[in-house]
Amino acid sequence: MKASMSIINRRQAVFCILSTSLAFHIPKVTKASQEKVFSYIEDITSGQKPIDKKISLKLPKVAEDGNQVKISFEVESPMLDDNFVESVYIFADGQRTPKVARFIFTPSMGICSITTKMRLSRSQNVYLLAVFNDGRHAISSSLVEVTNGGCEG
Amino acid sequence: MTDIKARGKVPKTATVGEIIEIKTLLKHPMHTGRVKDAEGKIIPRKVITDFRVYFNGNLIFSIEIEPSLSSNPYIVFPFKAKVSGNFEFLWLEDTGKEYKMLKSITVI
Repeated sequence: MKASMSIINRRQAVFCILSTSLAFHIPKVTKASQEKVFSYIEDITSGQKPIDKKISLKLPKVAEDGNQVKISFEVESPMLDDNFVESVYIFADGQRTPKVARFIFTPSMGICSITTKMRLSRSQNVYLLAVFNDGRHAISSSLVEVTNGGCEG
Repeated sequence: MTDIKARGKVPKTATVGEIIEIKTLLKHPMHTGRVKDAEGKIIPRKVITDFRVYFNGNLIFSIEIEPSLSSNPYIVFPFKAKVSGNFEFLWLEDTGKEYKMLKSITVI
């Protein structure tokens, strides 16, 4: 290993460093996978515009282990029988299957909040879509850089 | 074969109207069917597809799960305590198997 290191010239060394850092820092999100997420969202919301609701979506900015990325969220809602969050969908646009999970809530939970762990195979955007009982919805998203990719889900 | 075990934390007692935190973990590999073992053979797909929580027989919370959720699915969720009762936690696997866990709470 040492011998081969010594014979690379400066240009190769610069290229190596640049390409590795690029590989780690630019999310390899293809347009197609992002469009897939948007089309899921459009299907669920029938193309209506999102409303303004307080959503806290917590994910690490940089995830070292893509197999276990902690995600927490809380959607502002009184969680009453006539005003509650019905579903929260999580999508990730760099996964083979961009759908991660659909959480189905009921007013008996009191608040709308979850903590769980997900897989991220590479750096990508994670989207949260909250659908309320009246059919309206709100969206939030977060970019996660993954240094050590997890499984393709 | 790894043992599949359900674990959970529910407070033993709560006051009326208190929002409690419930933690559950199912020790489960969540094999996506795309990973190979040491001998190069594909490990067959085996994933949890659904998680359901019942309180005194009523469905209070559920999740439709895709393979992008991590192995050993770990879920923390809230519940507003009103009356004493029993929780039933149910995990459904794509193979048709089910894993169940029971917990109870006393509301004072």
